[in-house]
Amino acid sequence: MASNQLRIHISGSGMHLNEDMPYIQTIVRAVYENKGSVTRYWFEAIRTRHELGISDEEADWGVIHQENDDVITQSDLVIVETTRDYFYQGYQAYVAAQRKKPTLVVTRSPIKGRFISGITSKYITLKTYQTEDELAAIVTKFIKANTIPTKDLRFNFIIDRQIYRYLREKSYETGRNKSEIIREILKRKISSGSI
Amino acid sequence: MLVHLISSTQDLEESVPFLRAIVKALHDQGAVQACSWIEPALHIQATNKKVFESLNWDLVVQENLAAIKRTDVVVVEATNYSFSQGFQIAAALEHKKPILVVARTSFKSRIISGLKNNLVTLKSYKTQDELEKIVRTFLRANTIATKDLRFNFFIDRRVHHYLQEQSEESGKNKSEIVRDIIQRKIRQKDRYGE
Repeated sequence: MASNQLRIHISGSGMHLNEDMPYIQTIVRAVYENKGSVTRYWFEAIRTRHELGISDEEADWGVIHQENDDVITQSDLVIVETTRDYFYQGYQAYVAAQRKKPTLVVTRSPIKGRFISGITSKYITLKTYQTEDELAAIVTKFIKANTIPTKDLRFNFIIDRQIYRYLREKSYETGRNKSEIIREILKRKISSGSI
Repeated sequence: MLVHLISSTQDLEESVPFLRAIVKALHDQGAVQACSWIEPALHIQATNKKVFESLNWDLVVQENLAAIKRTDVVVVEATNYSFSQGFQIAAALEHKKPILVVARTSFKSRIISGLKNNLVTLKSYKTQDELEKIVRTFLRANTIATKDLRFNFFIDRRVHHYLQEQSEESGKNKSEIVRDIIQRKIRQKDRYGE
C-alpha cells in the first residue's frame, strides 16, 4: 500500500558497528524527526547475528545483498555513511544514483585527495561531519530539500483522443471533473495493490 | 583487448608488485590498459603525497568512469575493499562489462560474495604467479576470438524467399548474401559517418 511517508534507506558498514552505532542512530532519529521511515534495519540484523554467534563467513550474503538492492529501488532517498571507506557503500551510492534516488553521502573522514571528492552526480550530495549534532543537521537539511510537499502537486500529461473522449463522457455522466476521475482511477489502482 | 584496471591509491607501495603482475599478465595476453595510472601515481606518492590533494578529482572520477565505458573488461584489485572500488564495480555492471575482482584476502565474509552476477568473477590469490594465472585465465575466457562467430537469428518467409532467390541468382550461399548486405551497410556508415 502506498503511503505519504518518505522511505529512506540508510547504508553503512557493519564492520565497526559498536563504534559507528551512535552515528547510525543519529541518522535514524533525524529520519523519524523529519517524518520519514527507515526501510531496512540492517544494523539490528547484524547485532542479532553477532548475538547468536553467527560469523560473517556464515551469513547469507546473497540474500543480504538482494534485500539491500530491493530497498534502494523502494526508497525515496538514500543516506550512505562511509566513514570506513568500504566497498559496499561505494557500490550502493552508485546504484542509488543510477536509479535516480537523491543520495546523501556522509563521512567523518577527510575527503580531500580521495576518489570520493570527485564524484559529481546530480543525485549525490557529499558532506563531511564531526559531531552527531552536525550529522543530524545535515540529514535534516537533505530530507527537507528532497521532500515532496504534502500539498497536492500539479501533474501534466499528454492524452490521446480515445482517453479524452472517455474522460469527457465519464465527466458528463458523473458530474465530476476529468482530474477527479483520473485521481479516483489511480487511487483504486493503488488500493488494489497492483502498483 | 582494452582493460580498465581498478585499485586504490591507499597502500599503493604494498600493492604495487601485485598491480604490476596484473599489468604483465595483460600484456602477455596482448591486452592494453585503458589508462596507465599506476606508475604516475607511484611517482607522485614517492615525491610529494600532497600532490594527490591538489589533483582534479572530478576529472579523475570522470576519466575512470569513461574508461569503464570504453573497455572490454574490468579488473579490480580489491584487497583494501574501498568505496571507490565498489563505486566503479557498480558502474562496470551498469555497462555490462565482465569484471574480475581479485584480492589477497577471502571474499567469504564480505557482501561482495553475495553479488550473484554472471559478469562478476571473484578470485582470491596469495602470490604474484597465482595472480598472473588468474588474470590470464579471465582474459582468455572473455576474449572474443578473431575467428568467425556463429550467429543465429529468425527470418520471416519474405526474407527467406528473398535470400533463396538471391542465392540462386548469384551462386552465393544465403549466409554470404547476408554478410555482404551487412558489410555494405557498414561501409556506407563509414562513408557518411552515420
